[in-house]
Amino acid sequence: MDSTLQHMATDTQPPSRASPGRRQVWVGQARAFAERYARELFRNKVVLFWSVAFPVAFYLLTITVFIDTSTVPDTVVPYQKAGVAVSYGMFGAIVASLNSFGQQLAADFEADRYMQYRSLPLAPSADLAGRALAGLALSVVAFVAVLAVAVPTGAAFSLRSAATVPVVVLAVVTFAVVWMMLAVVVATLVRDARYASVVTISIALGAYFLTGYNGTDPGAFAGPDWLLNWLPFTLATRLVSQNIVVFPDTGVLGSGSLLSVPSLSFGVGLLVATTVAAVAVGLLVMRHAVYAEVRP
Amino acid sequence: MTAIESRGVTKEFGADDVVRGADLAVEEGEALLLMGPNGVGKTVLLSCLAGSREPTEGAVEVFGRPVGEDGGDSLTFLLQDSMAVETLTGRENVDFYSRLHHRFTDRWREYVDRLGLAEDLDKRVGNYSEGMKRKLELALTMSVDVPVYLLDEPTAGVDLTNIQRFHDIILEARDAGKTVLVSSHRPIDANIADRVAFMPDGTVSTVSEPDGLMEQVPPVVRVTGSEAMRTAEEYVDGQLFPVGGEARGFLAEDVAFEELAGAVEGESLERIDPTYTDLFNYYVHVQS
Repeated sequence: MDSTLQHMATDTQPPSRASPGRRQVWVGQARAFAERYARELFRNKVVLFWSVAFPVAFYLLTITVFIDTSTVPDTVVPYQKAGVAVSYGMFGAIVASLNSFGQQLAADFEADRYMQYRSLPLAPSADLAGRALAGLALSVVAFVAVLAVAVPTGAAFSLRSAATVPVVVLAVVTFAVVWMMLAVVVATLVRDARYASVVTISIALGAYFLTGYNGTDPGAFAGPDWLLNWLPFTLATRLVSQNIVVFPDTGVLGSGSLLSVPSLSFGVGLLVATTVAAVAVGLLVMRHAVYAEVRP
Repeated sequence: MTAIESRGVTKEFGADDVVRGADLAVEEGEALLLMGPNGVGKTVLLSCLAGSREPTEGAVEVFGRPVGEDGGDSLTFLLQDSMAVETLTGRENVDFYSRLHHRFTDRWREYVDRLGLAEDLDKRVGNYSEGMKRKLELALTMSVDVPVYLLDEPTAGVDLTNIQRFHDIILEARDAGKTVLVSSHRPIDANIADRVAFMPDGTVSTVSEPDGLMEQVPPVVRVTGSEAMRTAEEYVDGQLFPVGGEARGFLAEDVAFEELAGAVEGESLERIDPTYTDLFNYYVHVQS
């Protein structure tokens, strides 16, 4: 008998349900998926261009070409730039979480990778969690990249209160997760990377422009202002903007923020609730459409 | 005991049925080779056996339990071209798969060494040749310590020297009591088979030991020269199978070799012992 087979000590007992071993296996699988997808996303130059470089470039183009800052008082310009940066940063996060994430899942369908995964004792939730962690990392990088570029261009960011950091983190995380769960649905329906890319980029652009740059410019939104506080992605963007674009009273605009957002508890509650619902949908799709063929 | 079994498995894709009522039982501890030409549904049948696809009709059981209930604990599946992730290095693939299956072992180290892949582990799989991908896939699959291995065309694109190494690894698993089901259209893979099953057209037509199958093959003739080939075609069962500048065929039941020899001039005809290639041609193209 082969020495390899004879001497390799292995755990040949499947971990029982709810045992620490089973939890360990789940964590290991989620980590495996997170590392794999993060490697793939961050190595893909096309993904990095559209998720990170494109929003940064569009921010720079906007503040230098599209917006005539000479008509705005000097004291207001830094906050105007900060508001634009938040808007484009969140747009980068949409592209990362919807387009790049969705394309990656669709590519796995195209490569018949789920045929392989379905034969393994995998937890669909571990796959989804790992994917989402990698997509979230890219979304955060896309968002932070625009803000980091905006600072040297004169954008002024500050913290509204002690709750600002957790609120902004929560808003960005829930924003990205909701888009990623939508990407799971789209990619599962189309199962073709190029088609998924066209659909998701169309959704991203449509959602961004039709809602007045994710709700940061209510004047460009055709619907009622209150609706921007109910759509999870516009609410998240407005909460971020309200919390880090805080201007002092310059005698021109008043002080604080031009955006009327709901109370913190309501806003946070709504974001958490929509994210939980979105994750539930994502899990259902993973279990019953992606991993569904024979699993009981 | 039967390790894995399909009973009346049919798999349809829209109006097309790729697998039609396939019955196949693989006994515990045997290496069974599933042979058939391209496109007859070998991969689809294997994916049904692995639990990757749900049969449209029929049932699949692993050690007497429905494959869905087993949930991948008892088997591992090498799905050609879908396993190794091309954007990762070989080592990153090992890292990835090692965490996906709780029965993954360190055996991969010895396998990549034996297959001559150790020095290429830090290269992206997208830059691998087909043969290198097969080596990585085999190492990843055989490193999982399960009772049943399902290997979908593991030797496709592998050179003859390395095929022997692949066979050694598969036979070692068999000798250790594992059950191995290998699909292939390469006759050389019959070397590892305890039994061979033929799948000529979406169904499993014949299952038996290679020696028994070989005995059932009619006399094989080798013909050279275009004139002799034209003449011989009237005396063989089915068709002649060209191989380079010659052709091989099976004497029809009511034809004696001497009769054909009388019809073909000169030394352009020879009676030969059947090879695994003849076995494949007979059971896949003639008998079916």
